[in-house]
Amino acid sequence: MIFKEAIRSLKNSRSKALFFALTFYITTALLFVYFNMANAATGGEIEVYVSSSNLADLIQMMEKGNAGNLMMVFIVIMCFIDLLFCNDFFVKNKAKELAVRMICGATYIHLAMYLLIQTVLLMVISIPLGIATGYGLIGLMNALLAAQGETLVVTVSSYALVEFFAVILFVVFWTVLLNCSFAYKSGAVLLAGGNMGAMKDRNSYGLASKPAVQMILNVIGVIAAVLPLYNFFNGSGALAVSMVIGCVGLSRVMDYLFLPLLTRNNRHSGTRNNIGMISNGFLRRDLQFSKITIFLLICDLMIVMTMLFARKNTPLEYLLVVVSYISISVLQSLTIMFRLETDLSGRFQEYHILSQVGVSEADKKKIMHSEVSKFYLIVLLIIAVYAGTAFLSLYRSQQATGGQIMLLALSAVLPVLAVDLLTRIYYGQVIREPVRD
Amino acid sequence: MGPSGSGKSTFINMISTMDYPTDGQVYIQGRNVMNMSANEIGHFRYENLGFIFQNFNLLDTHTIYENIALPLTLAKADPKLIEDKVTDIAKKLNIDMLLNKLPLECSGGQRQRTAIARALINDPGIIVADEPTGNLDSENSEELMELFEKMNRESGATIVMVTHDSYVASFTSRLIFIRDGAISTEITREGMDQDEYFQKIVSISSAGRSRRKRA
Repeated sequence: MIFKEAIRSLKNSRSKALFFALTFYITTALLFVYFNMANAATGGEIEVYVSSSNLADLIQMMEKGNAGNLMMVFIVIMCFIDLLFCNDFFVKNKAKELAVRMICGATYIHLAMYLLIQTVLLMVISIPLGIATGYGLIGLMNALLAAQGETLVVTVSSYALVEFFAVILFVVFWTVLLNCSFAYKSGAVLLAGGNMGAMKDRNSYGLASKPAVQMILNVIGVIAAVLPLYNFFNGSGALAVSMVIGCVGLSRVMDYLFLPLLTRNNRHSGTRNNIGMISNGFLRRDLQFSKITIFLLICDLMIVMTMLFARKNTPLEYLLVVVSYISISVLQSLTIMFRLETDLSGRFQEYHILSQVGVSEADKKKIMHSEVSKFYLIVLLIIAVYAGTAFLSLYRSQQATGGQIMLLALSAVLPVLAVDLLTRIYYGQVIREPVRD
Repeated sequence: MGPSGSGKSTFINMISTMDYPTDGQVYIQGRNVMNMSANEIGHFRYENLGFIFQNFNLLDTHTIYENIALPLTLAKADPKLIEDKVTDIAKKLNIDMLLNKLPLECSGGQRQRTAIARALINDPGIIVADEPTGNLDSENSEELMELFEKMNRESGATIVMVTHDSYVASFTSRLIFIRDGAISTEITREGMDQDEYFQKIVSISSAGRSRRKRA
């Protein structure tokens, strides 16, 4: 019975299921390549570190400079975050459905099973495809290694396969459980007649409060946001640490300078352009909701870049870090997309109100495209400013060639452009008014 | 007025160009709205109609200022004029201190006044209100009805309102009862004071309920 209901639910949310399956597929392919390459690079020492929860071990590992081990932990965390946001997107709209099940007496275990069956069904389709793609990618890696004169060949080892399956099942189990808890709580709130939107602490985009304190904090925020640029430009080794500080500053700049600036603009000259004004309002919400994922992307890229250029890696390790960089860029771009789409999935009502006020269907599409363009342009600008400065620094200090920098830049930009396109497709479906007979 | 399913909201959706009849025509100010293109309908809405709904239908992602300014930005009015008009109407409705806030940070009454400000900002000839007091307490409901009366008196705007509440209906000058998609009774105030008018509305409503029970 529960199995049939799970299949029916999957059919009813086809487009979301497709996005979820696609993410599973990409994650599987990347993880598969990754574990096999890391296994070849480190000679099978990885499992010690994967299972280690001791911070001292992690620091020792970083000091030891084994790129494969560190990247392994890092990639697993990234996969976890990516699948968590993807599953959140998948589950969020099922809160009402779960609330109805709760009324009918479903227990937490019943609901968890219901969601887990859906996830496992999608896994059954995506994982074999992902593994097949992974095989192809490993062949490509070997061709690249051979072209560089490297005698080592990456083979698919049973050891890596066991690690791969252990990690992917672990990640899937925990993401489903975490999101089920969220859905259960949302369901309980819905049953109580509450509103999940109202539960959130939604700060106003007010323009003034305690000016002196705000000004001091804003100055500190700007300095913190600019600090990584200074460090990157001077070739400081502390790229990752300064980037974390930079993101804290950037968060302040976004919340207290950029978003109020949008509000101020909307209030004055912004009203001259109705499409700009409406899309800026949506953009403000998108940035507030998704900024954490944007900061994660830039932090992660910087951490991998540190790994790439701060040490002398073997060619295989070097290739492994490049693959990590590309993987992180892809996974984090997907994370940004899923985080954004989780919020966009409830945007139909807003666009329906726009219709009532008199916004034409053509203008609604323009508003949607304007909002998505601005959002991803901001993501690309943040990447360009921070990663761009790091690239410049690496190029100046001759730690990287122009070709390498081009590869890294494209690896960061192309996934963002791809998710921009996917977001437009999904958003277009969300805002479409139902056709009446 | 009318029982649930009688066609009140369908009627209001027709005259607000949100829906089309399967049969017949809809004329507003002498124009057949069914012959208008999608763009013309958009223009027609923000130039001639103001909407007020039970659930306020405000953009939760936009500030109170942006919500009120929306119809004027669609009409491509000058930003200075927009600022003046929004500030002016917000003062009149006592929400001028909330202009930079989001709707979810405001009370139900404040949100309804924002919806009213948005409906009035472009001086529409017709204001369509679908159960506007449905989510308000009695104090806010009375305040809203007094405001409607004032708007009707001062700017001459026609207010078409759907309600279940006989007291709210007693503020109107003409009342149409709908049942099963057709007009069942029509009354006008014509010199009655509000109490007499209210009693008449209650008696017609009760008679309708008794008839339904017998049926």
